[in-house]
Amino acid sequence: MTTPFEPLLRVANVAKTFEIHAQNARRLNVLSDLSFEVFAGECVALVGPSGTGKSSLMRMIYGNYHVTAGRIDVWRESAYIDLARLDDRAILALRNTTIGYVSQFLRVIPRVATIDLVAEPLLSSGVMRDTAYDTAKALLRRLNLPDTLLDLPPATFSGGEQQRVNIARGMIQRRPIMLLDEPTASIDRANREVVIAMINEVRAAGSAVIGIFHDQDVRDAVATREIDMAAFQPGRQAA
Amino acid sequence: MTEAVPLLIADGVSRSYGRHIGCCDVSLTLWEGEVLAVVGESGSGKSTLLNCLSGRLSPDAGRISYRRRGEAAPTDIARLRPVEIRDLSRSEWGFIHQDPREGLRMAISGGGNIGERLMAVGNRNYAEIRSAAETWMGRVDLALDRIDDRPTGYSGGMRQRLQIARNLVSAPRLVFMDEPTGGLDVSVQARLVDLIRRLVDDLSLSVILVTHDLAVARHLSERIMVMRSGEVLEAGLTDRVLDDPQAPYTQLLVESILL
Repeated sequence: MTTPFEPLLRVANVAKTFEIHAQNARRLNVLSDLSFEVFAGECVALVGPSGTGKSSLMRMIYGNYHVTAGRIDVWRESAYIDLARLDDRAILALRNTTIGYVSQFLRVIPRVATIDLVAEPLLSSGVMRDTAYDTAKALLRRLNLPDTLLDLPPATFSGGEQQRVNIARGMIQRRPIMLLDEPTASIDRANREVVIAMINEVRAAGSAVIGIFHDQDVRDAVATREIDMAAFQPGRQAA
Repeated sequence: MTEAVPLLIADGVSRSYGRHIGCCDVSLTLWEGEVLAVVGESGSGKSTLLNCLSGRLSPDAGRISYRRRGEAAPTDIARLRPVEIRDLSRSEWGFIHQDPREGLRMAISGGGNIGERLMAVGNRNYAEIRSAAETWMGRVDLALDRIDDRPTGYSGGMRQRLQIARNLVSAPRLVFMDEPTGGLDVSVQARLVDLIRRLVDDLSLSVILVTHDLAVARHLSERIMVMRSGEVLEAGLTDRVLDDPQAPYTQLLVESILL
């Protein structure tokens, strides 16, 4: 499916500007002229102080934010497609096949049981029900989530438990490109080791991983390379 | 997996009421299995648009095409005879009104409301109709012992569930929804959104959902159109439009969400 010779992701001259109309049309330049490539089996850590556009970049690669300028080329079926110019349905298709995203916070449908949330990505890509639920249960066990919680919606869980549900849901299916936004932020030491092992497995299996890892230990344990986002800062305020 | 021809295409649809503009030059494409939300405040033209798309109102300009079941090419709705439109709305389409009283017959029983729709598409087997009504009472979480009661005795949330059952019993492909959760208590709204989401998934329905509630749009739709004064201001993936709104008006709407 993937080739070791072409990068799975090519970010070229990407810029992101937020135009806030309410405040006298203020423009907030978050990123400019950012270019990098990520190959299969790499884990690139985005580093830099907050406000340097790390999350914005991840969201652009997921199609959640509009790309102000530049290209985001994604390798799919032996060709690159530019995500910045794709229509809605093509982006949805990419999310279903090529790009996985573990967000910083769990933002899912309320009132849905944990096990259903985690199994859902497998079910919607056609995996048999029993297999999907077995896989989901095994993954949640690996993340030390008590079996007694599986039938409950995660709304009342602790921050760490919610984040583990989030990781399980986001990583239950390996995608060629995996985006991880602070996956270990509110997770205790023991579970952090589990998440680190999971990230390394995904990478070893041939995914290109791009992540934000605040914790230096985690970064050292998973990242093969770092990109310093501070290098791509435009002047914050333009006219 | 992805079919080559959309289910519904609107091209430059406009409709005004005298000098008052309903909707103006609206174009959209709906694919099979997709939920498209149309959001905006009252008077934005979203309901006018929905009425045009569902054949309940004739547009002044523009063209609406729908690909009928078993057909490869879309049909221009304007060329259909009224009887054909009526057949479509009973078989392949559903329409959920904000006020269930508009979509239900209040003088007949809950079960009768569900069964009537099956009879309208030609089913005459009483036992089958009764059993389908029972099944659908269950699928929309209505207690079976209320099947012979008239909806006048139902709560608002129960009536809305009944209206949904009445629409879905004949297995439509495309359901138009006009503020389906409007006018209900917040706790009832949440359960109804869950129910709609479950049914849309299970039945792979295509839906055009008109709502002023951005949270409802986020939970139910993949794509969204933002309307104001009859015009489409912004359209795109629901999560992108709500997380990174471009148009000034969309930014204002998103900022105005309380939670």
